[in-house]
Amino acid sequence: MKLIYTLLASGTVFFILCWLLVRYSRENTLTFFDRPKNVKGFLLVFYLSLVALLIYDFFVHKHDHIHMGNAPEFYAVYGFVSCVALIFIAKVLRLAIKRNEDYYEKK
Amino acid sequence: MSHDPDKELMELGHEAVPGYKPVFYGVLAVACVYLGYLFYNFL
Amino acid sequence: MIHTLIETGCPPSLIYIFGALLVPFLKGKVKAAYMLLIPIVSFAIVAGVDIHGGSRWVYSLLTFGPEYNLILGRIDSLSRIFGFIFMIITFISLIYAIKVNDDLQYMAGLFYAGGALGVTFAGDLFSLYIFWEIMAIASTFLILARRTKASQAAAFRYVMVHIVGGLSLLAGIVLYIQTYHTTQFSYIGLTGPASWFIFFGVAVNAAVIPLHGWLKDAYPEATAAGAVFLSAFTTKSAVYVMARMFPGADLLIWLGAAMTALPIFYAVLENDIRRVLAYSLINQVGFMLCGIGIGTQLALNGAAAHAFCHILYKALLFMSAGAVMEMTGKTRCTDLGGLYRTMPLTCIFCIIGAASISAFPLFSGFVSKSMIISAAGYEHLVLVWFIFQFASAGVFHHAGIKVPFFMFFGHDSGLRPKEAPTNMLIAMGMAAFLCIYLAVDFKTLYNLLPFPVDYVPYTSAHVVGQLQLLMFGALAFCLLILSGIYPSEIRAEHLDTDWFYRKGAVLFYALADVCMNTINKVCDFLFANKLTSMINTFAKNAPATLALLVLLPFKGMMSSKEGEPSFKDRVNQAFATGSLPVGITAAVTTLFIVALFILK
Repeated sequence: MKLIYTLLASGTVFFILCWLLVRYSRENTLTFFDRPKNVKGFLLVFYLSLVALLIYDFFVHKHDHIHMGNAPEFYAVYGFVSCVALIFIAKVLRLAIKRNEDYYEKK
Repeated sequence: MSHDPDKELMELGHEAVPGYKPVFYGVLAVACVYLGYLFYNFL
Repeated sequence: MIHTLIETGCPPSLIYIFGALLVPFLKGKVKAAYMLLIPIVSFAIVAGVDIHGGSRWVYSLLTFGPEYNLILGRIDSLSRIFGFIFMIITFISLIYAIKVNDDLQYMAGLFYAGGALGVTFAGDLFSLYIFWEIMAIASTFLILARRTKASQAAAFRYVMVHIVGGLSLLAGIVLYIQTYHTTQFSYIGLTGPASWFIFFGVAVNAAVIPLHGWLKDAYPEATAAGAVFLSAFTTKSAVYVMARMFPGADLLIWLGAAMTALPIFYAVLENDIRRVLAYSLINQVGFMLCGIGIGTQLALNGAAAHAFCHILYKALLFMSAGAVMEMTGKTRCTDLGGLYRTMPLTCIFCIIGAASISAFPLFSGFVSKSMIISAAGYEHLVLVWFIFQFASAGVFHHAGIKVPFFMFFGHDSGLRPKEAPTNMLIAMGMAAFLCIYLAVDFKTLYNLLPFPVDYVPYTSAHVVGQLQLLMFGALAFCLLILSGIYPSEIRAEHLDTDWFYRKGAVLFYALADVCMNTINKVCDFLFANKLTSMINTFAKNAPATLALLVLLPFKGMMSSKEGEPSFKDRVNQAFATGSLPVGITAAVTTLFIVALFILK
């Protein structure tokens, strides 16, 4: 029962938040990212949060079962490198597996 | 920059913004070197 | 039987399946209310069941010989969590589809969900198989309901693959019953041919690499609502059966790891948003199967929890892609972009789904996927652990960023569609809300799991590690896009394992054409043309020929004069016109009788 009340209460809050967002978007059209200034600001916040994460990492007590997980900044570096590797491998893969759109069925 | 929605693109490329390529390769080089160092020491 | 039904309630699978039969007879709001009532009633029934009370809804199948019972209600802690999420997601999907007004989709969806619930609560292999096939057939109609040529072809391929899988499962079940003389649906383990057949059949449904081609082929062709149903049931019921039958199978660890890593390369290249989602579905199921393969309590808990969360956020992502498809008629990255301006709510919900699938802290994927990754760490599966981290970053890259970015941000496609209809927004909102709620109140989720949990997802080390992994993955995306290295979105076909049966079928067709038609021609020539006409001729002339043979000794007596037809011609003529002289008939008959007498 307690669960149902919590669900209902927090669900209502969530829906009100969503409704507010739509209500106060300008003429039902959002234009936030149309302004280069906003995009720049967004990216700046993003970069700053990255730096904050890198710094905060030194103050965290770690006890990972895989030892490398305990190395400083391991996750940051691994995340970056694996995403780049993903893209590079995918680009190479595309050379081998790309076919025309009507490869299976001629239009 | 918008285009005519009725015209379907065959390809959507991503234009390079000048100045970002060296940044990218720089970060990648640092990350690779550090990751190589970690693998060398921990495995 | 009716008495027991009233006394003990009705199996939810049967409520769904028989409930679906009434749908076409109702109209308007009554129909909507009726359909939404089905999952609610079923949920109430299952929630009221004591999970330690043993199996219910047991019907004896054979009254003689060995006792084979149909068990429709084996509700324990493992099947209950799957049952719950299946019922929640039918409720949400039905709200999403309430304005479709297509009885085919409603009925197929309810049958399909009923089949999945039947599989989940089945306690014996017979009912497992029956519900398994109901699922396969009902889901095909959700693809057919798109009513395009491409969807028809995809549905055909889909059902063919599932028939192969289903037959393999059936063969395995028959072998299993032959060997062990039991129909109990429980731990089997990979021993002997029976288990391998069953494993193959289940693996087809779980989209295990390399049997995953059907999924990326069929799901993007389904209707908007159909894809939501499809994303929930087939693979996750297969995960449930795997968890029941093959926990701790080492093979599953490696298959699962391959499933997490390989599809993300395709997902990065793929242009169709719903196909990207199909690939990320395979990737997520890989995490679950790997958890089942590891087989510790934590890993199995993680697999069940991940299935629960995954169904919600994957349905959410398919719903937002479906809403965009409904409003714009497009699903390709090349055609979409910049929709956040006019579809802000759909955009927000999509981002919540994307954050959940990428396992951001405070989103549901985080509390479930972490269990599986930690379990791999505790067992010191170092390579698997590294693959998991790679796949986690990769998921964020394609499902977490690519899907919302190319639909709602990125280049401006010039499309200005209206916001999705209210019912779709409500359905998406519910799923999005649950995604966040489960991550905050994770104790509720953990209490539903099959084994007791003492896992704490929110440690500062874990939160920071995960955030670093994801945010620096995002940095990679950002820099790759800005430096123009990111692969462009191209309208193209990327070959996958479905190539083998799509192109292989053409080859098979050509081969079958040559072989079978040659045999056909030879047979036609020999039997139809030659042999038949010979038999025909013989049968037609048999009486005359026989009579001639019999009368041969008396030929001299009946010799003809000059100018009259010969003896042979006279006999033939007499047979042809039916005008046999009495004398000859009498003579032939007498001679037959004499011959019979002698022969006797």
